[in-house]
Amino acid sequence: MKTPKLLCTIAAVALAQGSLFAVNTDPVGFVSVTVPANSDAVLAVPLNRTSEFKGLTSALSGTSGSVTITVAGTPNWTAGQFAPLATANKTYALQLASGAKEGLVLPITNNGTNTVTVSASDNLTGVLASGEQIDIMPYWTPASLFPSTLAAGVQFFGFSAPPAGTNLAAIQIYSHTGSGVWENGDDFSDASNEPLPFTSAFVLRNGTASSQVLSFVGSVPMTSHRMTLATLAANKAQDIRFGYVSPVASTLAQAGLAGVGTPAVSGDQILVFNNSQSGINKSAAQILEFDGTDWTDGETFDVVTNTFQFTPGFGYLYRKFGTTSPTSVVWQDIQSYLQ
Amino acid sequence: MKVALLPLLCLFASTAFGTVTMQFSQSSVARATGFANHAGVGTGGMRWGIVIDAGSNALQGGSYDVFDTSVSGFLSVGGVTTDDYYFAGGLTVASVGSTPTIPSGNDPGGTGVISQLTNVAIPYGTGGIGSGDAFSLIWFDGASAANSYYGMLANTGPTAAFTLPNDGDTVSYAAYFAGTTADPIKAANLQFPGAAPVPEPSRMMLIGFGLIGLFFRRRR
Repeated sequence: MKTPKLLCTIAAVALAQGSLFAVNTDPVGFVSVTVPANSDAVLAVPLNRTSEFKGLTSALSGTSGSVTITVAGTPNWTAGQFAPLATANKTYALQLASGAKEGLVLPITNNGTNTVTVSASDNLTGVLASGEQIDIMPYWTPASLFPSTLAAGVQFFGFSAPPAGTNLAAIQIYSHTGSGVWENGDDFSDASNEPLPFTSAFVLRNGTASSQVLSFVGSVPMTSHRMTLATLAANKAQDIRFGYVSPVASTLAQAGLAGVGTPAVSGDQILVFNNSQSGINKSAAQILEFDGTDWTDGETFDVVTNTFQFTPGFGYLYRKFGTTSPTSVVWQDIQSYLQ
Repeated sequence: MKVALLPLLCLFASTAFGTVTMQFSQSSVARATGFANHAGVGTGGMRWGIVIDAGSNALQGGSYDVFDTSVSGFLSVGGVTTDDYYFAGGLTVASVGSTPTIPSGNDPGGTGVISQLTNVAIPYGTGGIGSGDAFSLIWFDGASAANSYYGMLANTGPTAAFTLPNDGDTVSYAAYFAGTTADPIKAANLQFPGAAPVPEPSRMMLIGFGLIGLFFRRRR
């Protein structure tokens, strides 16, 4: 278990003792953001929902696609308790908490009394075989993330599973109808419990005449930030909306975007948005560019690798430079407070 | 009778696209309802889209030749390609219930609902299409065919004027629609032309053939 160097907390909660199958409670934190009236804000959640299981693996069946993981010991789960929407309108994820792919998030499709089945887009060969740490926690959803007192009419714009290219408009639109109920703009279905992907950024559009103050409350992530940066078509740059998973401000260098092992390549850009500025469909307030060694401000050409900081709760846009064929790289980084 | 389905000409001189999301129904603002068939019944399952005035010279709605409503492209009138560009959308929703509006009150919902075009790529730069171009909503009472019906709805403002967004933008036009009362029924009252008739022999020609036949009979 990593020892945190810095906690962003309301109160630190003592770890549970004894059984591997008790939930060792992570530190709790909160991050507050404000969305101006009649404006968009680009946001991301730097905290997790409370973990409902922490333990070790003992066996793995399958390496990709539908994979079944056997946990060590006897957790005495109820079969199906982690199936999507089977438990209190929750959709669960299994996150690797150790090993080469620490931070990888796998959606859970079902479970047995001591097994859990996930949908693995990554090849898990050599991963999760035995003795690896895992966390099971529910995805954030609009109803669980945002307060029910949020003004009716506020809209959530998601960008998950985007098509190839840049300047992509919203793909998921959920509107708050009031009292914590969210509606899907495509077909008017209930979107209150739609899972929000880890590390994803979203736009919150406040169409009301009053600013909206949001407080994200959750568990401090105790595993690495991990996400994929990929181009989807040949010779075409790709926009990827993201948030750095940390409740603590971090520089680009601290976030692993410079130096040895960085996933960044020359030509990559990060678009930064001013969330305190009024307006919708706002263009980037700052563009950072990677020259192969450092990140620079696109307007002033100043080197910002060790000065620009990701703000907790804010979302960003990573514009991956076009490649001759679709390419995927992993951005995996241990947060500064875990080192 | 034969019906000539004139093909749409898709002139992609440029591969530039504007990727946009265009909302017509927005919870807590208003729903775009009342899109009805020719009989005036708000109906789900009708295909709808937008027609873009790429030439900024007014649309020729009501005169279009029959076209495949599942395919986007420039429309024709009398066999001649126009600068009116049809972008195929989705299907109308049968009905939707009420929802709170801002600051209070209820949108009574309705039937024949249009939701949104989500993250669609419109060929900006092709044939003069670009952000700011005016467009109209268009919906079809059934599969397009000779004499079938369609409807069009324009909005030049001042509220939520129907103009194309900038590339990458998400724009709502819902404020144009009624938020506290039911939207008026909009019947599909424009009609595609009928099939060209198969030419029939003239009466005089028939009489002429008859006379010729009688002539040869008398000669024998």
